[in-house]
Amino acid sequence: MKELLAKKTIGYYIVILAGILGLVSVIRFLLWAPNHGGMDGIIVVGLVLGLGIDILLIFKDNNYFVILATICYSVAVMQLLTNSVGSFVDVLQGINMFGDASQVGSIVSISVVILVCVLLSVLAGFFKRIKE
Amino acid sequence: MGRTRIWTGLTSLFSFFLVVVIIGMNCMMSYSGTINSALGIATSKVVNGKDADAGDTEYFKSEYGELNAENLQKLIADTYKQSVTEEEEGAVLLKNDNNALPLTADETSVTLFGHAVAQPLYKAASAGSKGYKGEHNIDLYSAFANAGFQINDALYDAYAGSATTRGTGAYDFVSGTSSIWSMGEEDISFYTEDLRASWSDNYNDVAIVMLAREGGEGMELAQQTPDEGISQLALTQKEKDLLQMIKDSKKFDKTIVLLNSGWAMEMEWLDKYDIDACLWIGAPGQRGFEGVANILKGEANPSGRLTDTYAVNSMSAPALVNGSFNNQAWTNLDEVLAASTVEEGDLSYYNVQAEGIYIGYKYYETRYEDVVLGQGNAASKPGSSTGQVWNYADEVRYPFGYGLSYTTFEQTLDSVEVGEDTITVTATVTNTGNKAGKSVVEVYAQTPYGAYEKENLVEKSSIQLLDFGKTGMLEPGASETLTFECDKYLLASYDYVKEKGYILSEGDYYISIGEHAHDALNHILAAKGAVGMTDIDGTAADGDAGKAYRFHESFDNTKYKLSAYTGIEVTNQFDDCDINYWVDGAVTYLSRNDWEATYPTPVQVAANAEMIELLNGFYYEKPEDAPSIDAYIQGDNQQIPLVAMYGLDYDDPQWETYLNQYTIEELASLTADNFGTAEVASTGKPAVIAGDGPDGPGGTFNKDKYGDDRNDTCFPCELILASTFNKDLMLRRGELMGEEAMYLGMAQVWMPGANLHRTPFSGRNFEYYSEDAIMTYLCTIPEVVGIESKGVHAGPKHLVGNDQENNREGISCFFTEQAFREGALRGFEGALAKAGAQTVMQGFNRLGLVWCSVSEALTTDITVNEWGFVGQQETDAVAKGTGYKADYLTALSIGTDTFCLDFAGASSRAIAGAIKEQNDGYLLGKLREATHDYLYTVANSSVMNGYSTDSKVVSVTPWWQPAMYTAIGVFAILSLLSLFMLIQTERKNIIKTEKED
Repeated sequence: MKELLAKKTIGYYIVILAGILGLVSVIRFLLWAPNHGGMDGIIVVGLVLGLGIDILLIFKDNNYFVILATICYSVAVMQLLTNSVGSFVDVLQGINMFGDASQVGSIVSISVVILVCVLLSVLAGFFKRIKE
Repeated sequence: MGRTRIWTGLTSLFSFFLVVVIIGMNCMMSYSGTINSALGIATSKVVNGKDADAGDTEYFKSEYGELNAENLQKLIADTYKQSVTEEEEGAVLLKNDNNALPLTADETSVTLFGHAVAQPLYKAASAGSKGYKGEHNIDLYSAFANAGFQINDALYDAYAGSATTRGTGAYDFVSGTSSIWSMGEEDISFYTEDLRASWSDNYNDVAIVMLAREGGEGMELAQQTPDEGISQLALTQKEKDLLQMIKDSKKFDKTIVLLNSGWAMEMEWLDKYDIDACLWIGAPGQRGFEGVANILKGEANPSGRLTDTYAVNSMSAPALVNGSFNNQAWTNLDEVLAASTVEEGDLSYYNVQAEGIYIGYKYYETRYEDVVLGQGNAASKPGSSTGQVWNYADEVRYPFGYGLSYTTFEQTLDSVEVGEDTITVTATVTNTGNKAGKSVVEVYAQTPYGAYEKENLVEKSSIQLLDFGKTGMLEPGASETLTFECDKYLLASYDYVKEKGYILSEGDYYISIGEHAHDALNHILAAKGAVGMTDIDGTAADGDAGKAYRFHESFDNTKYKLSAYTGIEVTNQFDDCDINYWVDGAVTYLSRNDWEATYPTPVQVAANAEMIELLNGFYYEKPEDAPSIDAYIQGDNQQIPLVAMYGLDYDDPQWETYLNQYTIEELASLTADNFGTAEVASTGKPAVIAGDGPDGPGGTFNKDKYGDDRNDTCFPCELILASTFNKDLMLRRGELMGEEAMYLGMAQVWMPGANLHRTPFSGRNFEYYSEDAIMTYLCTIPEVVGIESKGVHAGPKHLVGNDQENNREGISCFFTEQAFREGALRGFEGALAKAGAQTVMQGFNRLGLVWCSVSEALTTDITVNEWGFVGQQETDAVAKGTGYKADYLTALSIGTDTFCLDFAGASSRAIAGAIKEQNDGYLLGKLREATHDYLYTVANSSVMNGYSTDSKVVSVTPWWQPAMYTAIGVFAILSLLSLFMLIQTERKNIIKTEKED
């Protein structure tokens, strides 16, 4: 392991961080969504794939994997946000009708974590992940 | 290798943006109607033929002439003037000791107390106009300053700068709740020595204290506040401290309280704290505070009357035993949920309306008469607020119809003529005071409660409103005689047990006038020779038999056997909405025959398998004899535009030819209402916009067309309008909102609100008229007539029984058919059957176990068959497209036409899919009926102005769509380019590495 890490640079650790946050996102989403009518297969697939690719990247560096991970997390967060438009409308209107205003806090917090995954994946693309 | 990283990063970045715009565009297309509405984009336009003589295509004319910038300004000015007048005539003077009001010319230096002065309640959270938010709003401070008051700015500025905020229903990220619950009043420590000094020597002619209460859509008022555990309608400790501080200061010559509330408050504190006068001002909208200032200065004389009973204890309403926050969950809820196919909240709760007909004054005044007459165990303890024998003065602070004036009036009942169908009442009002003013004449009735009624559970209120009217401005000494043609139908009672229809009871009937419901009842009791009456403060009262008229009627079960609107037999439709139908003996409904034995208790029942099946909904099954979809002609385009249908009868055969032009998808596209529907260019159907009230249509004017982009006017809340007791103002409000809708291009507006104030806590009481069904009936008629007169269709909401906000989605309401027909349904009967509203919005709630929108009894048997309604029936918002509200097929099959705020067109897809997959010609027939209903209203609306049979409807692509497609294209190209560069760079790197090796 020591030998493995010795060859890695900042980009690699960004990928690991993205993976950890991806795991957090999967857990948070799966704990939240079934109880609030927010379950969506596209989001789950996006998050799990993003996480799986990040895990792959730990062992095998590949530029295309980085791009794919970004796309997966992007799809997941956009799907979550667009699914939740009704809840945001309720917040703006001060009512509870189109969605569930009380869940906006959870939606935003999950979305922020996934967005950080996206950001880290993009950054990982720009940084070296292994020593040349 | 550096370039590889750059292209990898850029590809990731561009891919992210590509995903954002693709999924974002998909979402925007789903919400395209909302986006277009928000951006003021019309998605269709009319193109007239060059050679054809189009003739006069202005089918509905604005009273201001051509729709243009100049005339819009005239309209806006009139709406502002109307708003001020409504407030002046709708605000109710509750107390005015020693003529404290109006203020004298010397009493202009004032201090405004209460945090609400800096955070007034213009309207509570709901749909409708947002005009109160803009620069054209006049707040309390400005209104008072403009009226010439010198205001203590030190305290006002302190309030304005305070972090204290009244709970508005906005979502709070910190607490994670949907409302920051706060009464919004300052702690007494807020009033520092410096602040107290600000009124010590100045600004102390008058202390004007404003107290606010706020609920809203989806927000019931609290029966137990989180902080003090008291009713939200009671005075809070901070408010008590404030009033005590003002009293103890001994600085003010007068203390005036303004109640900025759309809900009836508990007022026992009004006799403490040396308060001189109290004015209920409701939620005044964007211009109403000018009217409040005018009242205080005496430039307007208040003439409003309460449309609710102000109970001493707001918890004393029998409707609260099972209503509002006291709804019950099924005792076998786990079993219900286990068998549920819809969401938990959709079917968990029920409200057994054990109060029967006894809502508001019908409870308090009826029990009072029975106490006076010593009958029905009325003086027993159940329902008593004191725990002692029930006593009217302990229960009611201000009765229905109460309101003071700056002058005094004398009213005489001149004559009553009882005809076959109407009762003609004349009354004369004389101004006996020394100020000019208007007076309200309230006409009441009492119908007999005898052996038949007791045996057959026909309940009777001891007093019921029959009609009302308002005088013009009467100078001191002047008189005016008002004549009322009262509908005898309103005296009939619905006998759901024996006759299963309306009856006129046998016995003595009374007609009376009175200053309020209690006053009128005392006159009737006097006419009966009763003794022991009391006034509202508990002092002895004699009543005036001269203000009551008695006549006799024989039992009649035929007069109203048939509907006056359609001739169809009127009979029970809601037997299964009585919980006793499902669970024998589950409830004993409140009866004046024995108040003690029947006073409501919480009703707890379990749902059996049959009930659970009904709760789950989705009843529609394709009939065995359903025809093929080929039985209907589809897509046969005869080039007939929708405008060609203008003025044709609903049953005109040309409608069938017109509908034959539509494909199944085009028909289904119109079931998804998104505050309007998109155009169907091939059939000449333009894009249509709908507004949503009830305090304004809700929209912004088009600056390009009319030179002004302000919001439509936010009128005072509907409760203020009702409290004017002025039908001319109600008619005028309707006309003005209809005019606004014409400028906004709206074919229909979802208003007025016609549900009942079943309890004082319902979150939307501010935008419904009254606790009384007949008051609601009488108010809806002129307002709807006014709106419809402009070619804009009024859509009263929410049909029906949507009388509370707590658990409003999916709650099962159980009731007796008498209570329902004489109560919740009556206001809608006025709007649809009497006034001719052509659209109606249904409720979220269930009638018994069945959602309003899938209740055939409601949508067909009552609305269409009994009331003769022709037009569009729409659900309330189905936006989420989940749970019980996704039962599109059943709803369509029983007469519901459109689905409100179906953003993504889920109903359209579900209906079109089911018809095609099942080859279901029956459902296709229903879809054609729904389209017919909807397009009949559109064809006969003012949005047809400008269209001739020579016109073409041309689709207009909103600018944001090409913008988004361009963005998708740009990011797709950038993503592919960077990906290509990445591949190229990697290839070069490999070659380079191989060469180096």
